[in-house]
Amino acid sequence: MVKVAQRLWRTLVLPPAERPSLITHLMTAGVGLGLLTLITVPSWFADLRVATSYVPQTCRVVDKRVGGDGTYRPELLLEYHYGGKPYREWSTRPDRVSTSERGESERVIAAYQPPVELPCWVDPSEPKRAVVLRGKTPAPPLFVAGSWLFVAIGARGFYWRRRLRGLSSEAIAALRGAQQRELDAPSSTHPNVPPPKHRPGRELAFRLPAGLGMDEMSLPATLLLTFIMASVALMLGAITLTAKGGITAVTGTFFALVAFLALRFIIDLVQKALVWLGLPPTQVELSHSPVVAGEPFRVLVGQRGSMRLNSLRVTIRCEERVSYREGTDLRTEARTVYEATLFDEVGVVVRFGEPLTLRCEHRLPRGVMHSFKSEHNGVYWVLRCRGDVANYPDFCRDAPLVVLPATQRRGAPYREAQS
Amino acid sequence: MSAAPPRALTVRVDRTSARYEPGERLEVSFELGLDPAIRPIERVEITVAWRTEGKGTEDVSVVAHERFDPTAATATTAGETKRPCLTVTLPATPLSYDGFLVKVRWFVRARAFANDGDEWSDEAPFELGAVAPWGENKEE
Repeated sequence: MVKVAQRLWRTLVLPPAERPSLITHLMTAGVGLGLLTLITVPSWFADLRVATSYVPQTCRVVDKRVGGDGTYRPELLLEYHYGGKPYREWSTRPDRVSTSERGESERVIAAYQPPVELPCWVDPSEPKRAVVLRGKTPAPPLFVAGSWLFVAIGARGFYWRRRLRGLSSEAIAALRGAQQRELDAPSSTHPNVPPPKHRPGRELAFRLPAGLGMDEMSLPATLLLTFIMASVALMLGAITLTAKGGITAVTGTFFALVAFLALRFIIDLVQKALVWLGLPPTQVELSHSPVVAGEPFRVLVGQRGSMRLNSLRVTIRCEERVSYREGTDLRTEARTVYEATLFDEVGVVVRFGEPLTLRCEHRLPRGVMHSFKSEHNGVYWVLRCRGDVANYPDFCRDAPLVVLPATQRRGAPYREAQS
Repeated sequence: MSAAPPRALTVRVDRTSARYEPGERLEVSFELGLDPAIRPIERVEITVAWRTEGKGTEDVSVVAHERFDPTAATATTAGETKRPCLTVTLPATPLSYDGFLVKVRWFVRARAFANDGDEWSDEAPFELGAVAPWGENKEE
């Protein structure tokens, strides 16, 4: 939620990538203004008509209720005389609008304690119509907010269209880049390098968040898919069994296929849940964070709990990730471009109170690419712990780290990777 | 055979190797091959930027951008022609990179805008840092 709000804020404050088109923003602002007009003007006119055309009278409010059909509006039962004739009519606001907000209608009628005499206004052309309640029905806040959002987006477009007039695409990109850098990390000495996420460590200086690996990250997605597939299977089963003529070959095959998929997802979900709930977190600590390419750093990997590990492999890996559009789909792709093994343990037994602790010193080659992140492209470094637990689902946990480029050596490159 | 006509616009970096280290100064100059009497130029813009190439959607980030008055290009001081140029201190990152999916390319670009709406551009790539292409880094 916070990320979505941040993204929205960035979109609003950053200059657009190119000069906005007039027609698009004219239409957007027009839609917003149209909606606002739709919710304001009819009510305003109805109230104006009461003020100018209706005849002031005194009436007696004898009853009250929250009226409407499915939606709600405040209603008062009025008794009054007009043109020598007595009238007894239910009355509401001049705009006669009902909303989904029952509370608002209740609040309005709570102010009236029948029987009570009050001034009212009678329509001379249709004396059955009289009003006591004046003003307009408040519009739903979400609807109003949505309309203003359209107006704001349109206004933003006009503003940037005017501001970016006469500027080349490079000048616009320069303006956008400067504000982007200001927003992302105003004091960063390494632009486009994401800041490290670490806490103080117990043995080494920094502790990395060893979250779920990519395999386990899909837990919520698996849960959702399991639910959908199981629901579809149950529904199909019910339809198949209750349908006239019993199970046919086609419906039976389809049901079996969906049921198989549902079962597959359930097994996957149980496995992931077992890893998530049953294995204590993996401790990953570093002596330096960010790590500098070509400079040594110490690594500590710890695993608590009670388990027999057939194997435990800890690697440091660099992954390129990109996103791109193909038609209307947003696709992502990743490729590991560097991987080095830090630990490769076989047949390890971890007991309660005796955690497994592995330590080593490592140095990344000076020529590796540093951590990098732009809008659609990135280079990410992680310490991956992959464990094969005996009689239990395997686990894979990733601790993201940040790698900075090698520092320059006096008098000579840093360009050694190419020499 | 006649000689090739001069290019309308040429942009250059100050090193023939076009290799720079983070924090170093990069000097960009341009040369207009157009006759100002025939084609009056309104402005020239110089940009120092990087862009990504590869499978992902292209990202571009402009590090420096400046507009120049082309008449200043021919101004002389004490008999010496002083060419306008853009001097930039290069940032620490991102370094030039030739990855599998992601490539980071640095470049300078000049664009000349004529009074009648025509425009010309020229681009010169350069390298920042010395990251080895993907697959060439071996464990130390």
